[in-house]
Amino acid sequence: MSTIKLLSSDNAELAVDKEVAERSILIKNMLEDVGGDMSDQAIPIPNVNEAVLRKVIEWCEHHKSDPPPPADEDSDSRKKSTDIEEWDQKFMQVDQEMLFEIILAANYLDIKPLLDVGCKTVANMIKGKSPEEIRKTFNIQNDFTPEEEDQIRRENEWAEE
Amino acid sequence: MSIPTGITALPPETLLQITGYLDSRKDLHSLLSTCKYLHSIAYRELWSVLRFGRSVNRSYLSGNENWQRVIWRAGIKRLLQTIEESENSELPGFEFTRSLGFNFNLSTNSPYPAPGDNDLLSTFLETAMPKMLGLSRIALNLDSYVDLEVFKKDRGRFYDILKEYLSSKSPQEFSMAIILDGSDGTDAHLRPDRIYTMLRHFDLAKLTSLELRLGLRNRWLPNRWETPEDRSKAAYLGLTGLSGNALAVVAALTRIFRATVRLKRLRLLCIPWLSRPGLAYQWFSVNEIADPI
Repeated sequence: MSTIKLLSSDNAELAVDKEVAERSILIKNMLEDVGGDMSDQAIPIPNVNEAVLRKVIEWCEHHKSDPPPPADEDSDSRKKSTDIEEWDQKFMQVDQEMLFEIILAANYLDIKPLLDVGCKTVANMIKGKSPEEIRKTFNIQNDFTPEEEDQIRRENEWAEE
Repeated sequence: MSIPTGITALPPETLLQITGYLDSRKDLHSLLSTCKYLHSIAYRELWSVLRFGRSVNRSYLSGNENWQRVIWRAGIKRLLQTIEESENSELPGFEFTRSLGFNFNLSTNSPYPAPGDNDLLSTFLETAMPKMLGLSRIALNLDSYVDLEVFKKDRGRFYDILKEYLSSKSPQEFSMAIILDGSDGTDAHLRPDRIYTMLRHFDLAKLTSLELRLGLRNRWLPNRWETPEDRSKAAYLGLTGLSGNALAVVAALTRIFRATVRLKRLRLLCIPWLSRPGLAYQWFSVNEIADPI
């Protein structure tokens, strides 16, 4: 099996099976563009540091034989369930900084199923919480003026039911 | 160099995906109340798809629909009140409304909505639809328990408003989705030709998605319908030939498909029903329906 090398933003070189790395559509397209032969040159991944890249590769390794996600982009058929398979749930049990870095990396590297898992994880962290609890969970600064808060409350009261 | 981290460092499209997984309005409401950046995302999501349900016993709600996003009677009232109160400062949320959904198919035991529900919805449509400049889709989930005449009388004003609105939109800028459940196993079962009559009430050329649940009755056995009353019921249901109501269903579908020139998605569920348990029915071949279609 052929191996390729990835170069993280902090200059760590990681060897990965080509098949595993190709879970990333960005890398897959890149390899196709250069004709597949990148055996002696590391592909720079400038937005992702080593720790995150290792985590992402771990995910790709575990999911390397998953069938490709359905191409149907119709918003109606998009499955809205936030169910996450057990392995992925465990995989996502990381600190928040890492969680958001994984999401950003999945977005950049174009690994849709990993992005989905990340987004579902965040959605599950929001569910059932009050605004104040959400702020606390994610360390968000309330930057509304009292007038704005009042306006928001009035406008969206119908949704509070 | 400090790189922003945390939830607010995520790009808008990723946050939109996250809000798409929030299946209750309350969660979206909480999220938009946290800070300005998340407000800009969650507010849009909250207002983009408005789905209405009528008041019925909620224990009948099926599992495949996201009921926590459905706006019930109290919510509609509150929305109307909000519109009234913000007469001078326009309600900006409607600018983001792309899609409206109406779910009338909630319960087999309660075919009629609570008094005033349709009036409330009609008033809402009249008031709010002109403000929804980006509206491009309407989805209807219809039941078939009521006869067409009742259907018209019951929701006349609502459908008239909808029809008039739709007539001002070109099929290129506007699409419709309809779910029609005609699979009820009782004798209130929708007559196949009525399926077409019911759908024709809308502009079928704008229909892009159609889901039909049809009750297919088995091959009719001559000794099944004994009394004249039974026989007239059989005729009403299209059960006059040897293929049960299959041919009548095919005829209705053919008429529908001729008119739905923009249809992109079709989901056809044919549910075989036995009128009486214990009777020996013969199955007819699926090809009897599939071939003509």
